[in-house]
Amino acid sequence: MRRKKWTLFLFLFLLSGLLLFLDKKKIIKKPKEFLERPILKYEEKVYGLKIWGEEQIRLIFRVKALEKEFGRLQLELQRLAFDQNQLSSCLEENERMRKLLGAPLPAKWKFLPAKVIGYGEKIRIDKGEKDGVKKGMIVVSENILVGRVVELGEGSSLLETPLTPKISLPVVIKRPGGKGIQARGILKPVGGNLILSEVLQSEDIQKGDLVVSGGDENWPVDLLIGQISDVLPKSAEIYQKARVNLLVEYDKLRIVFVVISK
Amino acid sequence: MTNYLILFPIFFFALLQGAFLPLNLVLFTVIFFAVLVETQRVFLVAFLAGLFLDLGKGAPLGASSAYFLALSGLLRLYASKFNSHQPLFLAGISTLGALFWSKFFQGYWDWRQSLILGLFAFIGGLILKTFWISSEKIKV
Repeated sequence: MRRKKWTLFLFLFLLSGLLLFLDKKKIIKKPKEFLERPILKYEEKVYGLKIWGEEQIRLIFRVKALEKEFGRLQLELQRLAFDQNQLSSCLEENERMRKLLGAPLPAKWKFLPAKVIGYGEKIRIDKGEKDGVKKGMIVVSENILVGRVVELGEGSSLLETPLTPKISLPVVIKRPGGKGIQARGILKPVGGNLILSEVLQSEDIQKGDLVVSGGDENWPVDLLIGQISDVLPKSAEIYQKARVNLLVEYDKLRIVFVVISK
Repeated sequence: MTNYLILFPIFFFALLQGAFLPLNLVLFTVIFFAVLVETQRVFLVAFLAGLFLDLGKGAPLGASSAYFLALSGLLRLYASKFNSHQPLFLAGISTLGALFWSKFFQGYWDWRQSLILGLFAFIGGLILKTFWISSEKIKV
């Protein structure tokens, strides 16, 4: 009996190794896709449910606060109506600035919409090799960088994002309203936060500056990533650091766009 | 046969882990199953749990299976000599199991999730010990 038990163990262990080998060699691509298909469907539902649940919980906690807010907002509404004319001109100006600094995507880029079906250290989307997705392809949400494809399945792909552990993303810093590059640095995730590092002390960065992809190491150029939320106090080091806020919340994304041709 | 019903929660946990959950509940379930069930079914469940998790997370097929099998094998070896129902042992093996899993499959040591899992395993171990002792007393 004991021997039989360990024979089964050995058999299953070897079978796992064989599966791993066949998967790496892409020999079992079709059966894997077949097995993955229902799981992806369920996963998509689970992910949707999670986002919905989070929204409901947030709503419940916010109901009381919202009641108070309601009275205050009614008064503010009157004031806002007065400011509307001024705001419309501001919006126009803002839009122009956004186009100027937010690096609008080139018109010749072609996009493939994909649903986000999983979020962890990497993001999983429902488009894979059969949809024309390739390793290294960039994924965006509006004109904001989400990540790039690092692992490819037949019907799904995994993306690494600026928040994926161990990643270091070359970036440039631009000032809203300013011209040219303010500084260069490396963006790294540290304990769930994004830290901009390796910025020379001589370079001038401040809260509100835009963090844009720098274009090295197979990352695209000029795609918005985030905004500096806090410049860390200067130390005796050669480089200065800053905390960066992302412009999109990756764990709340539902639809993203894979750049399939540039 | 009823032992295989554990595959339903495992499948559900694999879906959760694939969708958003960073906590390795599949590993947790496999460890507790290996401790509680002393038959060769443990290996089959570990193998299938690994497949579910790989499919759920989009990882190479068979990788988690091999890892869970190795862990179950170690647990069975340990259980043949010592008492594997100790909460501290369960907490330790769960923490280490999750820690090495995160290193192998995610590329970094995820201490936070591993310690959380270890804490859960400790609580689970305490509950298990209480029930185990009560059931043993009833038998006597």
